[in-house]
Amino acid sequence: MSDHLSPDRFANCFVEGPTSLELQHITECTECRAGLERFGRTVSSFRSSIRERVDAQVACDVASDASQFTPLSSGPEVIAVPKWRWVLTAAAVVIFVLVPVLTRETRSREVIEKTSIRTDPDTLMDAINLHLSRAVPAPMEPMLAIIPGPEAIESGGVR
Amino acid sequence: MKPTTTSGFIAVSMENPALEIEDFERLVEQHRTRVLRFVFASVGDMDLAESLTQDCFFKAYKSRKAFRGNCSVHTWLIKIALNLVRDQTRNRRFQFWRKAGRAHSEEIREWPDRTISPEDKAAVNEQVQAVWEATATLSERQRTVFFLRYVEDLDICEIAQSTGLTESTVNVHLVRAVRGIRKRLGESK
Repeated sequence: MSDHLSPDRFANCFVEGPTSLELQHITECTECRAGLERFGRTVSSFRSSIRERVDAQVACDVASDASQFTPLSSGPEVIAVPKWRWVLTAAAVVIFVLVPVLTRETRSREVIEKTSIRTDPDTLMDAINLHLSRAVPAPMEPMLAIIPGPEAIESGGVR
Repeated sequence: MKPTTTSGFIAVSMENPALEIEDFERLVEQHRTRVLRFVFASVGDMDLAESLTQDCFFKAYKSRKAFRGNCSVHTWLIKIALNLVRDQTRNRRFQFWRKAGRAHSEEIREWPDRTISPEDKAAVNEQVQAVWEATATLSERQRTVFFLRYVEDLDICEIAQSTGLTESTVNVHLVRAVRGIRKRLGESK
């Protein structure tokens, strides 16, 4: 038989299915029928090879995911802390807690001492006497140094 | 009431595929193998295929709000995977084919089919290798529609939705792909 399916008709036949005329030809022509069957088997093998490969990969992935699962340990994990960290922590406590406390105590002692000086009766009386014996209020004392005294006026005024 | 069983879930997702996106973990579980298969067929390298499949689901997760259910979830995922494969092929065009040829022959040697005799197995492996090599000579569109039709078993309508081509164009590419592969296999005279 000379009029076998052309490559285009063969491809059309494979992709879209044979028309009635093509079907009749395939039924009669063993060569074309064998060609179609052979090509179909080749494509099928190709598909199977990809499917087998991917299925094997997916199964392998699932197995590796399962093996990566680690059950919980019996107790909490103990973390070893080096000794020098404990020393640093103690130093930090001393700096941030004890130093402010000690500083505050020193200041309060100084305040008490100052207060005790002020409350000394003799000192207090001296301070009152000094304040009462002033001719002008304390803020005006610097001005008195500029203003000439009565002796200077009697001797002829300001030169 | 929201179904909790797998069959109920599938029933809901068939009615409205957009609902299927809500449970993303299950979506990955359901579609990962098929997406990986298509990507592996397209790039011919399992490590790269796994990486691209992961990217595909990451992109799908990011754009899940935009999915309106116009097509099936699988078609939508294939569309994303196809874009990733195209980007990858464009970036590594020259290294790709060299590596692809090597990878295919390695995969075939490991094909664990024990139902046939060693001689037949060798013959089948030879044929499979020949198809790999033949698909490498096809254009990107011809190869994609060939894989979607004969590896993924998508119908013409689904291929058209995934690739953005019309159904008649998909048919034309498929016919050309089959003709090209057959010519490469030395079957057409």
